[in-house]
Amino acid sequence: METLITTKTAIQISDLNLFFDTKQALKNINLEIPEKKVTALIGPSGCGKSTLLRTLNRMHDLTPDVRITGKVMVGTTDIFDHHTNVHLLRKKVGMVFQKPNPFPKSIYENIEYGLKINGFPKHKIKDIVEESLRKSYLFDEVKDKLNEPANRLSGGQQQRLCIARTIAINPEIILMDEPCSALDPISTAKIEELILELKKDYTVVIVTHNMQQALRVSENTAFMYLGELIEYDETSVIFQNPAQELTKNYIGGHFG
Amino acid sequence: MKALLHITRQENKGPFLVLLACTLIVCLFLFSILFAIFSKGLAVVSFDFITQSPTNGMTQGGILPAIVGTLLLTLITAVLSLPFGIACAIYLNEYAKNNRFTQLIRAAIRNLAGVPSIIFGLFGLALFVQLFQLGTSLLSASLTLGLLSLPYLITTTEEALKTVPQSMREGALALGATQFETIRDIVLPQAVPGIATGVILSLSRAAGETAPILFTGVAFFITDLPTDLSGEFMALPYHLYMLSTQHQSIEAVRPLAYGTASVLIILVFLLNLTAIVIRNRYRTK
Repeated sequence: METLITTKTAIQISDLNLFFDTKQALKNINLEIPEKKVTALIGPSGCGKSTLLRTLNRMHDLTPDVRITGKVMVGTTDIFDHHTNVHLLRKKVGMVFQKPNPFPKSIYENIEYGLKINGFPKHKIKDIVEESLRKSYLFDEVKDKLNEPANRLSGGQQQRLCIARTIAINPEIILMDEPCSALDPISTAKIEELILELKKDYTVVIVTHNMQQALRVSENTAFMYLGELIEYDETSVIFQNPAQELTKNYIGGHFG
Repeated sequence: MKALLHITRQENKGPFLVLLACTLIVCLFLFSILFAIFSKGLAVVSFDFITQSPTNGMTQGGILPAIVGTLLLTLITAVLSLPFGIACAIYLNEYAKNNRFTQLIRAAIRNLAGVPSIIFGLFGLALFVQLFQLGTSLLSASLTLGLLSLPYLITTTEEALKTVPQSMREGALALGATQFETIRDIVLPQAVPGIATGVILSLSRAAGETAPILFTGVAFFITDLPTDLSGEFMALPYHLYMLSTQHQSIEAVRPLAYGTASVLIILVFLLNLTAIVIRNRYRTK
């Protein structure tokens, strides 16, 4: 538990409940996510891990019939507070999705877009685009075709472009919703390598179905089951010596 | 056993032949209509026919005022109905929650599409011509046709918006874009080909309508081209109706009627062709 205590907290989730209409998807979640580390959310399909992730940048705002109780603090911001500007929150808490979703624009424009709407000064945009492409290990592959449509890139490249697009606007936290589940093993390895690099500058929260991936990239792991947070600890503890029987069974591949 | 298998499960040619026959019958009707009109009409269509006004009590000359009238009518209809139709579709697809109120709006739009065009014509007469004092004019007729086109415009625009994947909206929102920015910068550009196709198809349908303009602005015979919105105008569908049923020497103007029909069909085909070109152009991109 040492690492959990000694580092600063990036996200503090307290007594979080979430209902879709009458169905409760998250049950009394309490979770502290440390700064500049990778935290993995694992659990069987439908356990609420993606739902929890999407709560953190308020992506549920547009879903009808969602009701949330409890509190989530990102830094010193209460994200459900009426005064909280959701657009600024999402600039601070970026998100990478399961399926790469580059806009049907050029590679350059894909990154430029977030910078434009967030009011980055025009003369800096070109440099930031290049820098974020370098940071996501994509620059060398695309430097000669920045004006080509992003859809022509391979799936793995598209996902790295989406990561570049996210880090370009300088977030503090990056949420990743199964970012490799649509990718081949080689692209997956590149993304994982990138995640390990990203945690130097950003807090990363990653939802994954792939337990090996959680083991490879994360410091801390939260195991969820049926909307509840069953266990949260250092990744090595979760995988080698979990406290809960449920966790042990899931890690051991007995269900899920 | 082997023999039994051979007997019981054979692909039967019957269904295939019935379906093919039905398809061919449909095509047969279309082509016989086209043949009937073009075989008699194309001979009349000449440069003079489409660039001159009718003369000698409409037994000679061309149909220029009707062509210009129909083109202007379609154009003004577009200008009037596009903003409302597209705005309404964006509201319904992007903003509206799925509640009673929205269901009521959708039901209203569906039913509006089912209202016979002659009723639109009478409604236009009562509302625009009389109540709003716009008189029988190009403006009244365009407004009436605009109303008629709205349900198709809204439906096709909404379909086009639906083809934009949700992940595109989420991608933009996750970068901090507002909902309006997301729609303006990400959703609409992707929906443009679909919207353009829908717009052109609903306009080409409006261009061929007679009933809605009958009481609201179309004129029997005007040699001058329309110059402003408050005047009456000639239009191809009505001109055709008039040449085929109302003229004092119907036999004498029969070729002109076929010519008018040909021009109207060609005009509508050209509009549809534009829609197809736009669609294909964006699809290959």
